[in-house]
Amino acid sequence: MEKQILKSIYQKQPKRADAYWLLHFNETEVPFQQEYDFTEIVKGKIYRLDFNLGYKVKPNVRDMFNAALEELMKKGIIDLENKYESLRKHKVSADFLFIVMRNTFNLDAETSIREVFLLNAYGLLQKVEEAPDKYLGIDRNSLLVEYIALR
Amino acid sequence: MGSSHTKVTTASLLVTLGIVFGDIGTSPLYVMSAIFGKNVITSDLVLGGLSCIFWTLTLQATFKYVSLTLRADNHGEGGILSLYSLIRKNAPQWMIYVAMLGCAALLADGMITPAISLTASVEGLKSLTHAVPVLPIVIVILAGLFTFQQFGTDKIGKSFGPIMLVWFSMLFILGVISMGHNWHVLKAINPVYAWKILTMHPGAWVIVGAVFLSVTGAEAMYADLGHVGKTNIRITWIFVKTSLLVNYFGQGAWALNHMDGQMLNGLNPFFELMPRWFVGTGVVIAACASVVASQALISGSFSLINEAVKLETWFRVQILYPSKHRQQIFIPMINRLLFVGSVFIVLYFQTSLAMEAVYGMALNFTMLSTTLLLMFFLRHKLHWDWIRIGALTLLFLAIELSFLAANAHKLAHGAGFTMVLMLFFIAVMVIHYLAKHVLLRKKKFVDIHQYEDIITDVSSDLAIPKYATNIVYLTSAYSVHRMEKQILKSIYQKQPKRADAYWLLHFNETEVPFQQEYDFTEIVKGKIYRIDFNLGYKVKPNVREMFSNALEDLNKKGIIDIENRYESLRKHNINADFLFIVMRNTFNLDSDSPIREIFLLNAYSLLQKIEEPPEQYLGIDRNSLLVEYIALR
Repeated sequence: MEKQILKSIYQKQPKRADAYWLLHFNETEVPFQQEYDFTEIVKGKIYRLDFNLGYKVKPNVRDMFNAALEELMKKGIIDLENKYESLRKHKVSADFLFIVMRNTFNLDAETSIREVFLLNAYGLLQKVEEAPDKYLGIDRNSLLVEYIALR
Repeated sequence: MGSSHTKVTTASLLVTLGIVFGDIGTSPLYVMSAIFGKNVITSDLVLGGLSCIFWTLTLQATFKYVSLTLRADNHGEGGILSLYSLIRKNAPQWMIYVAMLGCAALLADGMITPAISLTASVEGLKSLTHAVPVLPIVIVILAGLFTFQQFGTDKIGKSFGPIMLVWFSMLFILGVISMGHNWHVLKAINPVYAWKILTMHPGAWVIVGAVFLSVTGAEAMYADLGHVGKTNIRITWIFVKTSLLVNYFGQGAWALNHMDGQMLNGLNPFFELMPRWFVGTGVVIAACASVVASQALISGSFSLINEAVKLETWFRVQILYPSKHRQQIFIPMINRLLFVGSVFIVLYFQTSLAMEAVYGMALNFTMLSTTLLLMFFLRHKLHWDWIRIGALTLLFLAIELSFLAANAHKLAHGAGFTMVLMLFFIAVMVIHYLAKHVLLRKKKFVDIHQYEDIITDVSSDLAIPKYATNIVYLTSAYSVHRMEKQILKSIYQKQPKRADAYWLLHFNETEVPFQQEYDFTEIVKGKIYRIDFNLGYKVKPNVREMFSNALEDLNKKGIIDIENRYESLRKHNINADFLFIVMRNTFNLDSDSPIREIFLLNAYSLLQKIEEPPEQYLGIDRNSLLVEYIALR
């Protein structure tokens, strides 16, 4: 996984969670395919979900992730029970926070002209492209955007 | 506020003169030249025109506005939106559109008022020499006027009354001197002359359109009611109307004596009354009076928009208070809009004659709106019987619709410009108003009492990290038993937000312009509270101030305890912390949404981009603010 994810978890203010999830989207050649692979990296602590989506399917985290979770829970592979006593009592399921990484560039004198030009132009495009919460269909209230400064 | 203003003193009459009559008072600058226009001046034309002015001022200004509409005194406040606020509980719902039309029209024609009166007064210099750079002078004055707004008009405001006293005295003296040469003009009081010119003159419609310019300022008299009260206006009106009429008749007398059988050819009868040695001084006085009139219009537009925001018919805008008086407000966006608009008008139309041809049509719609709103006021507040109301309404409608028919001729001369502006303002208002309703309908509200348990449980579950000592949600639920479902979600779904106490804040808009009260409800003891702020439609919500005051008040009465829960901070007497959560609407429109809604919400989201964000409008400290998003479907 990205080195930046590690940094996000334990450098800066460490982010303690009961479980960490890695989500990945694969684009496949089958137009409307919509499947996922589940991997348990560390039992009860680290999971990975790979969504294999046909090139005609728009990723939608809200729907796809929830559907996958529900299925995994039914199969007894994971446990979505709330860890907080007060909320478990009221049958509120556990909470999820999504963290999306965005690239920023630190250009310096050593960067080649071609790259400066390219990345500046790309930076402009980033301003007009759809925001990640919209493109991925993530609820804005449970989304945290972090920035990776690439050199 | 009203009571302190209703006293009548010499000083209050002078203030009234400076605030209320600028608009109607500067009409003599351009009305007569507009009436004569390109007509050959005959005694029929002069007497007919004067007769029309006399009766229009009497029926529209004196009767409709000064004697009737001024009674629609909303706790000392006037203006078309105040009138609407007064009657909205008794009137059918569509009356809001009538009010919007009136408001939009007022804004549209409002841009012409500074342009036309300033241009007409500076043009007076042309009777001395033709090489006067009129447009640059007007634009410099406009730039100064609009730049000055941000500093407030406290200091120069004091000179407005004396300026207008000088102005109206000048009108009177010039008029009397001129009438002395030809007392026959007084015959024009006989309405037969008005009837003759209207039925026989080939250019009658154009003349009516010009006559209308003499009462365009009547609506402003009503709008400025709040500053001075109706008694002051009524007393001062006697002096103002006399001066105006004497001056119009004086201009008529001059025309009869000097121009019989000729055309004006660019002369303005207003300045022709002055002896040549006085023209320079006269122009300066006229320009000062025009600045006073423009100022009244600008302040009027600010308070109009302020009221429209509170009625949810205009998007939230940044409002500043440049002076100590709470009443004086400054809206940067509207200031820029009016400045650009009036400079454009000056540059595009160039002469006051061309502006006369455009001015008035939009204001005509405002007057029609006022007539309709007035009808409900007379019925439900003054309890008149329908027969009298019907007769009056028909009379006013007949007059105003005839004016409208006459003003429609202005379309050919560029009034399309103000119509487009007016439609633009209406579109903004209607879109904002309807979208707000669609959004409110889409929000889901729940019964708080069903969820008391879970909220209390979350609050006392020490395993959940504490998010803040107090979390304050802004809610749009009118009932104290309800709140948005999204607030529930925010509290315990997603990352649960544990707090020692949860607060719900709601703002109610009331009809009392400057009311500022709150109601406190304890929903669950020590856990869930609700505060309802009842604010008059002239009061801008300010959470920082109002909420702290309310807390202090409640703390003193021993109802709540804002002592810090953290030992370390309590020791140092630091009060408990509050986190404010504001919900912002986003829409997920899918293909199932009706086309009307898609269109409405897309247009609304454009407005959202330029409006002031809710937290700023509500005056919430950014450091203790969390914005959450509600996706409405």
